[in-house]
Amino acid sequence: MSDNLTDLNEAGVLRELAAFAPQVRDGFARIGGPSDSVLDAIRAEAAKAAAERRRALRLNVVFRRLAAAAVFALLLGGSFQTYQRYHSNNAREQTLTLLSISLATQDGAYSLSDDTSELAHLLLTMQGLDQESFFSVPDEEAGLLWL
Amino acid sequence: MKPVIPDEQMTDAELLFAYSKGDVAAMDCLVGRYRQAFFSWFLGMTGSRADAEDLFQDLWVRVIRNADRFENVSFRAWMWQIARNLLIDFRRKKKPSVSLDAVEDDEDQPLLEQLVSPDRSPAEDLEQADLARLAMRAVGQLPAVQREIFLMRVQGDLSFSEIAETLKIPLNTALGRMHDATTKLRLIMAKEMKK
Repeated sequence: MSDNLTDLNEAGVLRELAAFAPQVRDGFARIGGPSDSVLDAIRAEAAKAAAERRRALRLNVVFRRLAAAAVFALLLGGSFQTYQRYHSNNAREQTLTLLSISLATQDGAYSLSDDTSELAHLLLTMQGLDQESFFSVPDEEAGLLWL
Repeated sequence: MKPVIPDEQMTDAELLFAYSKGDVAAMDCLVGRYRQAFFSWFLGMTGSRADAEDLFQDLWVRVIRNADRFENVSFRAWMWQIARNLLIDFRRKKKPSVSLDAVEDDEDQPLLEQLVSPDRSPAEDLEQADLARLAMRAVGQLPAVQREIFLMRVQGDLSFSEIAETLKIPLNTALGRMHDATTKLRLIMAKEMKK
């Protein structure tokens, strides 16, 4: 119901308006629009803003490319480092394996294990030393130690 | 990017989008499309050509600077909102004259004296000019709240729903103010014609 009233009012208002609208429009048309200098100023502002946007877009493209290159370099560097680390770990394991094989062929009593004391003993033996003799004192020297 | 040749068939949003991508001619198209509507409205609300031109220029500068921020709303509604905000700011700074008859423009000639069209015969034109002058004088005497709506409808070609939305008032209020405006215009013009 209220929608119908609104529609009716709107139609009525438009009818009332029709009595004045043409004269008012004519009046403003006769006065004319904004001057050419105003339109030129608007055109200049539009051109300036468009040029600024183009410049900003170009810089944006350059920055994006630099960022992409930096990311690529980081990934490349990281991959290379990972490869090197893997390679050196692999080399260490191979060395230890070779070592254990050579020790096993020399003296079947020794085998590679994670026990560091065994590794220390292994290293001493490689140098021609053994733990017991390294820390022992010969009898004649022991005697000299007693005053 | 390929430049888009602006077409009169393109919508306002399409023209603005084309401008935001660098097509300055698209902005020219938009300005031409709304030139008379907004300039007339500013002129009717300020009574001064100089002020109307300043506001008109400010309006388009705002549109230009915010072109890439325009989103899925009605372009017309968006522009009218900007125009209204500019007028409100203008009124805060300067109390405008309401009479188009009394205020002079830069050429020291009352605006209503400029209502002469070169396209008609002198006699015809005089009659038309007289009517136009009468109507403009009457519009100038309307209260600002009625004049605003009247000019949005007559010069801006906004629907009453659009007017209500722009002014953030109920539709019935917009219709009521327009009805009041037309009633007052009738009285003013009847009085003027009796003189």
